[in-house]
Amino acid sequence: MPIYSFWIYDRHCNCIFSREYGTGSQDPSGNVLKSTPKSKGSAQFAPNPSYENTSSLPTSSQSTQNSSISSGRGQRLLSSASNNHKAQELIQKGTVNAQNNNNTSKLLFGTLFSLRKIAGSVCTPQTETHQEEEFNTSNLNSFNALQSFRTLNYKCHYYETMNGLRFVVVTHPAARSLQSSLIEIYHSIYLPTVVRNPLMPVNYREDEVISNDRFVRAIDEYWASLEETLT
Amino acid sequence: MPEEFFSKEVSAMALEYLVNECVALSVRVEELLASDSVPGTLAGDVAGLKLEQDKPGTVDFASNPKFLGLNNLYRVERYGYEIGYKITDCIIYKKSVQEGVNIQLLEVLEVMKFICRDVWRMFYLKQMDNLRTNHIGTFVLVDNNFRPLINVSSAQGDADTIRKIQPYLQLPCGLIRGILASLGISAVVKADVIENRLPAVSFNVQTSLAK
Repeated sequence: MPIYSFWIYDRHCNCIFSREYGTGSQDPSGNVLKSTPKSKGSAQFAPNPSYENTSSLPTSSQSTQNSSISSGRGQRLLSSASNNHKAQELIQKGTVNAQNNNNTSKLLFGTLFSLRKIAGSVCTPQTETHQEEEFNTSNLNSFNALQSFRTLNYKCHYYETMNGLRFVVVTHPAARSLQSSLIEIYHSIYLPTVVRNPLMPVNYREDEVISNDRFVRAIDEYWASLEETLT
Repeated sequence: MPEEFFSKEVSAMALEYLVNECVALSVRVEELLASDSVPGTLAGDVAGLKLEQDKPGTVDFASNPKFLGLNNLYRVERYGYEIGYKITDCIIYKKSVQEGVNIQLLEVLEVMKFICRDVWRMFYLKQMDNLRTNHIGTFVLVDNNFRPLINVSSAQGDADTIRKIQPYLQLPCGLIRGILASLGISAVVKADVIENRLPAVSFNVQTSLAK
């Protein structure tokens, strides 16, 4: 069950973290996001040149370095890779913060944003008082929130915190619901390494991204460990 | 002294944020003092306590050149000094009266052990891991897992982190210096991250007392 990419959007709708994972050679069907889109849904994921570059190049660390330096802004290579072979493979093939501002990122956000709105309006429960109605349409009502959507080629898991931070992960369509993992990332990685870190902001300017080594490493290790349990 | 003075029911996280905010506030004060605004009304001063582009939730104060300036470091150290100078009595009271331990702080080494054991446990919920001395007035106190620095890491990499935590290390330095001063020992305290191994910190205490 490969994990394709991971995104975080802040409450100002900017992408503050994006992480692409090379899907590896162990699963040929993992190339869906790079191949010509077949289904209508995946048309949004038309590959951009930099992503194609990274994934089509040979997998030596040299080439990864070249391609990620030439593409995008603010990204950095991981200084220390995990001992785990699989984690290493994951880490070497992807890009960090290379796609925060491109069309894929914006369209993904737009899709989720619209779906979230629709989720709240398609079937509204009968309300008796005005307060109840207000609650149902507000952010506080998480019972009717969007959890994931799925196409033939991928599944997109979504978690939105109370203050508008959005965590998104794109995986193989057969993956189980990963919303709990997103919640865990929020609690056990984002909170300690960003919120409780006096040198990291919690309110991001438009061009600012989370490029913290420790954060990136923790995210990679988390997904790598999950990848093992999923397969 | 009432029991609740030593109540442990304080939110550690709230306290941590408050202490960290000391550093940010100090930078803003520094900026205000450097500007040519005339000190006058309270409202004007409060509005002046603002850096350029200083939006809430950002860490722009850390990239301000005054952040690592000597004035800022000294001001934060001074906060720690005041706290240490005043709190010594309370800790000694707590140990000797409430817990019934007869503490003898006659020698410098005893004072150092007191800092490593009692003071550190009170402030950082753990003891120092190591205490070394050359017996002619220099002491090295080592904490391998210094609580305030556990989560600290800068977006610009490890070298930048080490540089930017300097102001945060001034507070414990001042604390140690203040406690020593209130016990009649004048000293110079310097904190260093051990071999780039965060969050391990060593405090180098140079006392003026030759044995």
